[in-house]
Amino acid sequence: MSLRRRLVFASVLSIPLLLAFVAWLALAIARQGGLAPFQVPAGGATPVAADAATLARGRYLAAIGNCAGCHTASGGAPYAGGRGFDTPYGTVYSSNLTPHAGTGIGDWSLAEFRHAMRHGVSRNGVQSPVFPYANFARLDDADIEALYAWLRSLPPVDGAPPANALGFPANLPGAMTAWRLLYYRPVPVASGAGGDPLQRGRYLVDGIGHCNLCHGSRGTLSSQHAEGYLAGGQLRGWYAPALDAETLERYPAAELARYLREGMSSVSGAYGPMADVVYANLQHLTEADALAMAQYLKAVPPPPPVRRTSARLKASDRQLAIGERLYAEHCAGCHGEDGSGEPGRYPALATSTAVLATSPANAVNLVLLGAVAPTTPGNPAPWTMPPSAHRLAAADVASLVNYVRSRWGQGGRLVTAEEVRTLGSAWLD
Amino acid sequence: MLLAGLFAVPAWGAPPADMAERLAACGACHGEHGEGAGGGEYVPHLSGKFAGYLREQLQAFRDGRRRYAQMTWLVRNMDDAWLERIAAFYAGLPPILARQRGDSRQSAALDARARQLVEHGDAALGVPACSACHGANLAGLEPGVPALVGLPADYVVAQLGAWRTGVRNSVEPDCMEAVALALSASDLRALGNWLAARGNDEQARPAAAGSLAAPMHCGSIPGSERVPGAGSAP
Repeated sequence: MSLRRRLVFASVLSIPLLLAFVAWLALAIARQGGLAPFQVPAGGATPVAADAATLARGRYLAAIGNCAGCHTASGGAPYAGGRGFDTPYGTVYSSNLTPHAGTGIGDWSLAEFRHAMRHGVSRNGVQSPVFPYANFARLDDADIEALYAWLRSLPPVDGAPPANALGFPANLPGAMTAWRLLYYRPVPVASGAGGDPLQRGRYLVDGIGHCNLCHGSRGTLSSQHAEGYLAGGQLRGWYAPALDAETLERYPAAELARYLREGMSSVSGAYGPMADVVYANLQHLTEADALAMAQYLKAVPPPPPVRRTSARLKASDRQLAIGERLYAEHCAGCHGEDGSGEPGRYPALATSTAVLATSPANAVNLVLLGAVAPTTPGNPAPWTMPPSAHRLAAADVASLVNYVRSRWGQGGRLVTAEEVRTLGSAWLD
Repeated sequence: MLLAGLFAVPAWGAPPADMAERLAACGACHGEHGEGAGGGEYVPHLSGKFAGYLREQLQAFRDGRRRYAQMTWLVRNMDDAWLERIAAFYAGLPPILARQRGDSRQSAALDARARQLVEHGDAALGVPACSACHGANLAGLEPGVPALVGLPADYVVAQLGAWRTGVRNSVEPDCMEAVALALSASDLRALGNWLAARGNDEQARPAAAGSLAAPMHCGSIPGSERVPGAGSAP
């Protein structure tokens, strides 16, 4: 074959491939919002209204959104960043949100701050999706400006966070841009004002509250996908339940609002990581906002029923007998022989997420570690559940949990002694 | 003295009468009335300890200044007001000063060494007598220096070890860190066993605040900053 023929042959093959790639790239760029997200506005501090009402609004939003929870290192100054987040792709460190000129947002303009919240892109480059900009993109201009004003009122702290320690391929230049092209889809800016509680509830749940980060499930490479929306998720050995009309049916809206604000209700209390969320953030909700969130969550359509692929596992008679004896000895004193508990003190088992969930993780964790609802103005002296890690063997914990979930649950998964050991060591070792 | 200590505490009103039931999770390890659980070899009693000391420990577990995963788990979402009420509840219960579990087969030489440290310290190491701060009867010094009797040997050794490795800290300047670092590992074990075997049949009361001239400047002893050479570790 002559050189000329070879070139023609190669072109015939490669030009369509190249065109297809360019077309795909153009489509990918268009689907994540065009090129505008990559054009970071100029810096330079913007003078903003720093009246008491604006600052109070910014402070309220920062509390509800738990900005400090992620942007504070253990033992470090609040909002100064540097907390490490272990992900499957490496460790990501939070940034310094204090108004320090070199290391914080001291010389960020309002436009740059808004751009980072809406697009996840700042002078520091395309942010990792650990920063939930897919949620914060919904915040309206007034709320973003209030957050900016309030963060700028904090004492500046000099301190740059450590550089992210990502593994291959997340450490490659352009990896975050590639992820964004593949998985990020812009969301519309919503409005935080207006009198419709469902709209306000959704604004808080999907926006500053970013509930979906724990209560949703992730798709490919940790992307947020529509089917996983509030469909339940796993975090640090706990199960964050699905939030929809079906799973929340047992909560009257007012009781769900109380749960969010007070960490306690007539149905159940907030334990485990949700107790952290109530203590740090949600106890600051206004009554109206808590009710709006509850009403919206109770209106989320449940996912289509999943066909069970295997028959429900049944605990052995022997295990149930051991569990029944242990229940009478360790649990019935507070939760009652019939599991009805005492509202506000000891949750009823038949309405407890830990008992109803498919995953046994929460029930095991609560038995091993004990439980306390957070202290809040509405529940300042919470009742407690004793830990049992020091007095029950793993096999006994498994029997007890399987008994309780068989008797009051909905046919969730059984737990083995081995799993009990793994869950316990995650917290206590 | 004890009564004075008690009445100094509750500024926000008496704790609810059902405190022991509310605090069932604490009782599982520390005993229903903070008396220490039967057979407990590591978990200390809480009853009769100073409210200020207990509150400081609860806050330290919550805020990461003192480390024990189970404790941090239970107190991590409790505000100061509630921790103060918990501290006051246990402080108001009778102190436990009985003999505790330790290795009774400790050699006479180690017993003598422990007694020497408790009563006289070790000038060569710059370690003052335990009794100089914790009281002649080792029942503590109000408001912040705890009793050394009534504690299991393993607990005492673990705490001294934690100070050596920086896992436990007290208010700066942290004298206990200096003391624990100066002592040898065998000294720590000897002290744990000797103290556990002491008991206190007379139910001695803690020394009143300001009644002892502290040999070092310690953050836990108000007024000790006047000690010569204050602030420097021995």
